[in-house]
Amino acid sequence: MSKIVDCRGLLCPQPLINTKKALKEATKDEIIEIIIDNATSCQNVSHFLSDNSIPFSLKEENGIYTLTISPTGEGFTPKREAEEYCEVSFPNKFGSYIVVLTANMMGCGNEDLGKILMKGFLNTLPSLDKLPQEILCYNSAVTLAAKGTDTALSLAKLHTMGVKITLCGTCVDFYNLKDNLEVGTISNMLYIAERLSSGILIVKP
Amino acid sequence: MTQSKDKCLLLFQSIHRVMQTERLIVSRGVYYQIIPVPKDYSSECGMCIEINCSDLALLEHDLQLNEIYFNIVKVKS
Repeated sequence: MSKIVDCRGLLCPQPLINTKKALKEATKDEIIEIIIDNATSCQNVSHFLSDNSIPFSLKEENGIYTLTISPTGEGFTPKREAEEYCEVSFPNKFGSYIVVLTANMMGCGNEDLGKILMKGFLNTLPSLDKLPQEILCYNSAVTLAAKGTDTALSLAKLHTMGVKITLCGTCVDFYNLKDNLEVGTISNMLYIAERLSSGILIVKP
Repeated sequence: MTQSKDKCLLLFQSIHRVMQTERLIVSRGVYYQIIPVPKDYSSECGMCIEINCSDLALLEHDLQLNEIYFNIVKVKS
């Protein structure tokens, strides 16, 4: 028995949401076919499946991608929300770079000045021609995402514009912010090391 | 912290005045954002403070008491 999830004409995160729903509803022997008509969504869904250790096969014909999945039918709970895999939906809007924030201030020197410069920097990013693909925060930079701060509002605005906000989990734990975050996805050192070594341009203010 | 549509930009002569004003605004608990001065306006300091115009009267009083001089630009978002 197979189930067709037709995502043609849909942009991210909808194909991811439909895939997650299909996986949750799948019975043991049911095969799911996800049909997608754009490369970005296909890449995002593939990333989502791989990250959740779900085997699949992919075929492409005339720009139509079909991902065939054989779920185990034991109920499905994603590691991260499916929507969080929605990356680079609008390629022209984003530059080939990520921003890495290593502290809650910009530059070294006077702390008050550094904090105000950081606020200015975060509020300038939305007006750039090309947005960063991601803002990666570690050490005291994770405090920028804390609820009730003006910097969290700035990060949330960038997030709604499609910029991925990633926070170091160890750092969130250290600053005791786990239940007090306005925005951001918690990640680990493996992910951070992979991003830093991926060869993508890194902007460190 | 709430956001309304009418925004005012407070422009200052130095970053020290921006920092001093930020402390006053934080103590009042009103919405604000530190943003770069828009290209259309000149200011000796590259940063300015965006506030809701509805909070202007309150902050203007605080700034005058602290002898902080500034220019106001009203913007519609």
